[in-house]
Amino acid sequence: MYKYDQYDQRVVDQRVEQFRRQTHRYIEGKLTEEEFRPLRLHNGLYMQRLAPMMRIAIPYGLLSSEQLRMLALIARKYDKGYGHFSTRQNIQYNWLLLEEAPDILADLARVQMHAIQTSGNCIRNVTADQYSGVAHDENVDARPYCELVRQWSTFHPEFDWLPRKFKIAINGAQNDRAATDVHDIGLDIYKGEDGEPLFDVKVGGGLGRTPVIGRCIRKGLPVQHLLSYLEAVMRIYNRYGRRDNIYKARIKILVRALGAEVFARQVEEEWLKIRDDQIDVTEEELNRIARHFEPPELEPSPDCWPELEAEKEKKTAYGFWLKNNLFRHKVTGYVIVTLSLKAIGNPPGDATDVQMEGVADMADLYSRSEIRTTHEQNLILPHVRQTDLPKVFEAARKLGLAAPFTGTLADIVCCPGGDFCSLANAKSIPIAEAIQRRFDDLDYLHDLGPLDLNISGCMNACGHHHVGHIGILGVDKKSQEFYQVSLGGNSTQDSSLGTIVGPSFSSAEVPDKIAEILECYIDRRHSKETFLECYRRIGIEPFREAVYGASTKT
Amino acid sequence: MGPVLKRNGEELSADQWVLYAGGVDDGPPPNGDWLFAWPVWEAYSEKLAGRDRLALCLDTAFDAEKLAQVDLEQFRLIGIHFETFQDGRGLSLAVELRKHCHYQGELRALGDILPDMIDYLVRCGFDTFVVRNQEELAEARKNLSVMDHYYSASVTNPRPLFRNIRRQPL
Repeated sequence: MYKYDQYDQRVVDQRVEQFRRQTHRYIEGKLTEEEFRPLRLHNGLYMQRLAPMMRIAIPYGLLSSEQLRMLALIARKYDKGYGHFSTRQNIQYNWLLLEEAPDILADLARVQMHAIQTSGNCIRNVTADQYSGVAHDENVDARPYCELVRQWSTFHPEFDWLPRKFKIAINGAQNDRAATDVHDIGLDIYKGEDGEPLFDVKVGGGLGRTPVIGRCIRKGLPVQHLLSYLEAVMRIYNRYGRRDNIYKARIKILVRALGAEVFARQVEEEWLKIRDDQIDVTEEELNRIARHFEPPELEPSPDCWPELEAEKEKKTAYGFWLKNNLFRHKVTGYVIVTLSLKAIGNPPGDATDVQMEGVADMADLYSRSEIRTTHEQNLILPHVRQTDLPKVFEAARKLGLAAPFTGTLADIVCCPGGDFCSLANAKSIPIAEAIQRRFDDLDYLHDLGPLDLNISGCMNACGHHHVGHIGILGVDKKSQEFYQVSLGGNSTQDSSLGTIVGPSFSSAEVPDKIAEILECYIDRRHSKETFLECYRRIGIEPFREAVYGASTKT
Repeated sequence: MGPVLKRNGEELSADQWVLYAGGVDDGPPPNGDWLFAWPVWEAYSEKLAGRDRLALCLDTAFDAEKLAQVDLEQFRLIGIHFETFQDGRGLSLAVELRKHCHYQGELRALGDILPDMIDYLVRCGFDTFVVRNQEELAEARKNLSVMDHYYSASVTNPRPLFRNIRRQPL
């Protein structure tokens, strides 16, 4: 993974001192609330319902065991002993003191971490496939390009005061696990004929109030021009994105208003003016960054895949766990393991200090001291010997991280919701728990197959409900919490946005309504057809009838 | 106007420039060190063209393409007025004036300027900054040197960090 040199370190150290002074000025009354607000947001600090919340960047989801131990220490020292892993691969703490925020940033800087640009109207943490560099279906490792974009976007002189937040995701695998279609900029990397990496640039995707699938405006962009092209996109957006209405300020609204073709032409014109400047990366710099991501030398280890396949069919806790929590590694004999943060009753994505330290120990023992965070809010051990799996399972079980249903209905993606967030219209965590408790039969979950159930507590869609196969959105109806269900969303390469089933339900009704939707799927599916495939074949009507027909009968 | 900070950290003393308060309907502006809003300049450019001390004041939404046919060297000063410090259009406008219009004269930031954004303004090509009071001037001065390095290229340093220094490989 990327290791800071003296320049990277200096950047974060000086940033800590700057923020310390800003916080001090605010407390002394020399900065108004309005002036301090964007400054703290640029350092990840929100004022939440109950206490300040800080979001810390985990660049493209990569963590060392040392860094994870620091995150555990911060949870213990400054918070109530836990943190929340977010849908953008970052971590958030919900119970902090404003006065201590600069000390937290100083502690983070000691392990090459920061909270720079994790909030505010600027370019946010770049996200990537959590399996980058290890997945068997990868074309190009996205991480060096993520790091390149991270450095370019950090304190960019022009783009820290954009109309609105700006999110970039990069995918280099055949299966898009980075949801690049629903980002402000989504980049697909692949190898060109001469083996050089090429980028397809998609813009204007996003969730929130107005969900949109991004449009490709440039195909086959060589890496030598990536930064100047991004700079051209950002300049057009910064100049012409709407600033009069916060809900119409994202780039997707500009792209839609102009039309993707016109937007692309404006970008192209701007790009022609700057593409020969010195903005773009040199081969030397790209090589320097890439060296940080060279795969570790993994000692040969026996391939146990056939035995594992047999073990998976046994209806034991271990069998179920193997079936759902493994992903194939590039290297024979190794495997990628998901440690689930979705144990029933655990707020999705939450981990305690003890769990984080436990995972750091596991990473040291079994995974080359490396951990990944996922946008599905789980943790990953990327380099596990297949022969170590029984020990890894046992260690995960002891930590409460062996929930054997990753990728199923119970692996719910969920924002913090009304329990914490001041933007939320409704609670989301209790809904997730009610659904998990209703569907706790492992056989049934496995019979349902791959299913993404995503919950957001408001229109801002932090729980990515638009791209859940089943999406649940909390809404406020005359100060009562209600939940709107949508079906058919998907965030992978054939992405789609969910369609609303109909009028919303009370919290008590939600588990029953989900049950009716699932029964409809089971009745209608052809053999081996997944929920999404079945939905795409039969459409929303049968589900509508199942849900509203049933309730009118009673 | 409040005190004016230069990007070398000095305070600009004896600054005479004043925003011209008149509009297009008020007839040709009298002599003076005025910063003219674009509509006034556009209406009276022929009458004003010969004057020795000319300056423009643009708002952040101004489209730099309108300047394509204008001789910018006749202006001693171009100001960009920030209605709110959060309006980043002023940053891109400054970059366009410098990089695309090749404006060489003084570029000044006016309006709602936060001392904490001075290092961004400098890197986008601004030379001078009108701040609210002496206390903010001191704070703004500190922010001129808040960082030793930046990663990205800028107007003041067209080479990104990796082209400026040799970063040691791992």
